[in-house]
Amino acid sequence: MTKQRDQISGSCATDISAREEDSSHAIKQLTEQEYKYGFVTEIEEDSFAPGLDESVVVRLSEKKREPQWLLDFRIKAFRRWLTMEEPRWAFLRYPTIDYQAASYYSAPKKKKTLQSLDEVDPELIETYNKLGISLEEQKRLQGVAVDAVFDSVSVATTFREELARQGILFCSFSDAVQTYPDLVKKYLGSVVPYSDNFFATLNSAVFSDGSFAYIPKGVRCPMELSTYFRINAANTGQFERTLLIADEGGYVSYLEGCTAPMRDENQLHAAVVELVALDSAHIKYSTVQNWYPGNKKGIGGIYNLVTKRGKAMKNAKISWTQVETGSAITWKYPSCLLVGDNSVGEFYSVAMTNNFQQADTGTKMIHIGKNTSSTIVSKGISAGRSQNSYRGLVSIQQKATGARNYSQCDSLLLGDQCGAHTFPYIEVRNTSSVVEHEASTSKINEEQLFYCQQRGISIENAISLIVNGFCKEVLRELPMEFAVEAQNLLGLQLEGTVG
Amino acid sequence: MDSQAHYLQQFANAAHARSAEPSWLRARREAALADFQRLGFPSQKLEDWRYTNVREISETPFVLTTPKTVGSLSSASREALQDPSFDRGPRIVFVNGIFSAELSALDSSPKGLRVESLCAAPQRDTERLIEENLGQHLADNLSSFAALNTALFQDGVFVHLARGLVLEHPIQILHLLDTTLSDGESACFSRNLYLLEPDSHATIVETVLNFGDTRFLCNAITEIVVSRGASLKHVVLQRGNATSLHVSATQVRQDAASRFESISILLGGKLARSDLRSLLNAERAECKMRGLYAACQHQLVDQHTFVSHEKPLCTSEGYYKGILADRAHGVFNGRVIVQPHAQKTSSLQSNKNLLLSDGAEIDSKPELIIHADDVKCAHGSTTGSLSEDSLFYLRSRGLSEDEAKNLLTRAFAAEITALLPSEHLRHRTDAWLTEYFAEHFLSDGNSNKKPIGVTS
Repeated sequence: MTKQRDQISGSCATDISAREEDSSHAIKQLTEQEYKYGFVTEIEEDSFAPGLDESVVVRLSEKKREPQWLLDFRIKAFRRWLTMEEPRWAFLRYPTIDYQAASYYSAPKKKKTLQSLDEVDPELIETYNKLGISLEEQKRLQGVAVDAVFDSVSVATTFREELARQGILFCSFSDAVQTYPDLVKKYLGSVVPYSDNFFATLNSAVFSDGSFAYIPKGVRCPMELSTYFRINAANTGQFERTLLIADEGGYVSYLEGCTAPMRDENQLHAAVVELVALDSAHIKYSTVQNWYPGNKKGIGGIYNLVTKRGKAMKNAKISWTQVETGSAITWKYPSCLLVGDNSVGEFYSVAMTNNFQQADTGTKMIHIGKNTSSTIVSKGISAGRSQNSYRGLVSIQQKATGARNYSQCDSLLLGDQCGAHTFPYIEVRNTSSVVEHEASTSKINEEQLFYCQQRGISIENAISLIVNGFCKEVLRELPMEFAVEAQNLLGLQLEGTVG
Repeated sequence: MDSQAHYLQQFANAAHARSAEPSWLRARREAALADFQRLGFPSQKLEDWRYTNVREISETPFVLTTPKTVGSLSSASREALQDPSFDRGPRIVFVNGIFSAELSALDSSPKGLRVESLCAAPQRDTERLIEENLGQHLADNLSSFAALNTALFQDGVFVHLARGLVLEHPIQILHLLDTTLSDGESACFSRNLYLLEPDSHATIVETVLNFGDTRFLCNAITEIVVSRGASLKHVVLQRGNATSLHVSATQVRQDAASRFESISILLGGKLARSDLRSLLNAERAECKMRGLYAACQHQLVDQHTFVSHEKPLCTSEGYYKGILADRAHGVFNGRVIVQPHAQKTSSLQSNKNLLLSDGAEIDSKPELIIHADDVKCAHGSTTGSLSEDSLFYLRSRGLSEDEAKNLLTRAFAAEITALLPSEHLRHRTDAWLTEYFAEHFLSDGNSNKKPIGVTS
């Protein structure tokens, strides 16, 4: 009898250790994925020679036939940038960026101004098809208006006319400068001033294109607006600038996606996104970021150094949702300035890092108006040898009476070589506000894995299931089309052998 | 910088006193002075000093305190000595950072226990222990104040517990900082070293009291070694006043299966910065840090904690509560690092703050830096004010508004004060708090807004 029991417990022990081995093996398999958007499109490019000085800024502005006030804005920013130092406070280790090595303008060569999508270079259309962003199809079927940005310039904007009928302006930033200069002039730099930080200032000087959207008073945008960014050329930096204005009572849901080819050198992406939500407006901004993360040895990949900020006036709401799976370096803090009374800010984030990726991401919620509220839900997943940090600021100013914040930051560790870090900053200056923050860090629960396996779910699927469950609070905030893409992306980074 | 030059001058002035010191100590002091020259006073650009401006310290030419006769102690200081909790166990007293043999009571120390003045000790048999430990446990980035302290420290406490010694009564350390004794704006630099040999158990109670109304800087550095299986309960009760400036740092090193428990009560002070760091250097070490900080008027209290999990199977816990009134500024920073391979770590941290008026500010920053995967780590931080429902409940039962507020604020504090190891200490602390709240937070009501729905 005793012997039997010994045998049983013995076999149990083997089972457990085998299971642990299984799960670590599965995690290893799942986390060693290839990047599938790494192709390069052979396309004729019109670009500047590498290097950056004031003449580049002037030439860039000339090339885009910009008005004097915009050139002045760029020059002012450039001179300011020369006096600034690159920030080093983030939990990121990367070599100093050589700003002279990159080219500050790269565009698909075009013979004339495009009138419709049919005139877009078929190579480009093919590229977007490969990415799953079929401009043609989207135009007809999905009802999503897309502005596709290839390297530095916008190549196509769909649905433009249909939107215009409702008074919604949606076009590339360069077009907006020509067509709606008053709006651009009024709001450019109103949320992220030209002197804001090192990377935003650089962007203010050399931004090449981006998207622009304006939602008029009381209009609810009938479809999702979307921008797809693609870095193609080598040695280029991408500096796009997005400006989104929702006038009083307007509503818009905006999606942003991005990919880049696999290259051994690091490429710089320093974008600025400004959101203006006037009284009672509502902006929902979703990002699925899938820049090339570098290879398994940590060579190559995009440096994603982005400044995103929204300003919410009275009763307005700004909601950021992001799924960050790409980039070698991520430095990104989508923020909300809750200026108006009763304004609301939200931040939902999933950041997944693998191999040698490093992410330092989070948000800033600045409560200025009365009865403002904010919610932060951040989920970090680290695998391989990656470092994943949440860094967030919740600041309740003295006049922001009745403000409310709730933050939750959870980290999941897959493997013993990676790191997960949490750096919340909480600053409160009045008594009528309530601020709560909680964070936790742990690895995948062995019991949950066992439970799934016991019910016949393979270990890969079980991990995928648990990770998806871990992120659910964030993923459900994404618009339908994006939620599917985001889940696939997470799966792609996680799954491998499993179909 | 002028302030640096001033301290170089102070260092030169004290050359005479150092001549009697052993050569290793002189060498360490000189090296530390060079470090201080290189670092300068911390600016707010440093992450660790982000919310705390030390200009008042760096710009005031403080003069080092000198020994004074006890006869000139103020009556308030004398009264503090009457506290019954000082009657039992060994008691060591410092006046303005300098050892007072008259006020201390060290005769009753049991065998195997050494409690003495650090500067008296190097001449005797403990010199080797001090040489091996003094300044050797400080983390590299412990700020320029630690360097300045090593260069200038005047005296401090040396505690040594022999292997297996279990103390029945707490060791009482009393610091009287009485400006009525000193001439002008003065500073004391005190340095403490507590060594617990394997399997020894002790409780150390440090009381720091400020008297007088001249600006006074107290810079204290404490190094603690808790060896294998040893256990230390470290209680700090610090009561500052409108002119007191405190910058203190404690560095603990914990060996296998050791226990360290810190309970601190930080009450006011023009500026009170406290750093508590523990290095969990071997498996199964356990560390608990809990405390209360309170400030009012234009005071600033800054509590930093740091736990580094170096080895597997260690646990740590942090629990700090803050009460801030008037235009006071509170800072909390709790950092936990789990080093690679420190698997099976468990770490919990919590920070709760009570803001009693709109001018008050709290900056809370709990941090987790985790490099191992098999861990359970969590932290939380909340900030709010007294619950209106609770106030209404008490008012409806006949308490005045002040009484109700006082009761709720004391209840908020009680969670920490209840942890104090003796009835005397709990009484003493409770009396302090009651007095402090009554004096500053309530009745005068100058900047306290009346809660809605409650009339007085």
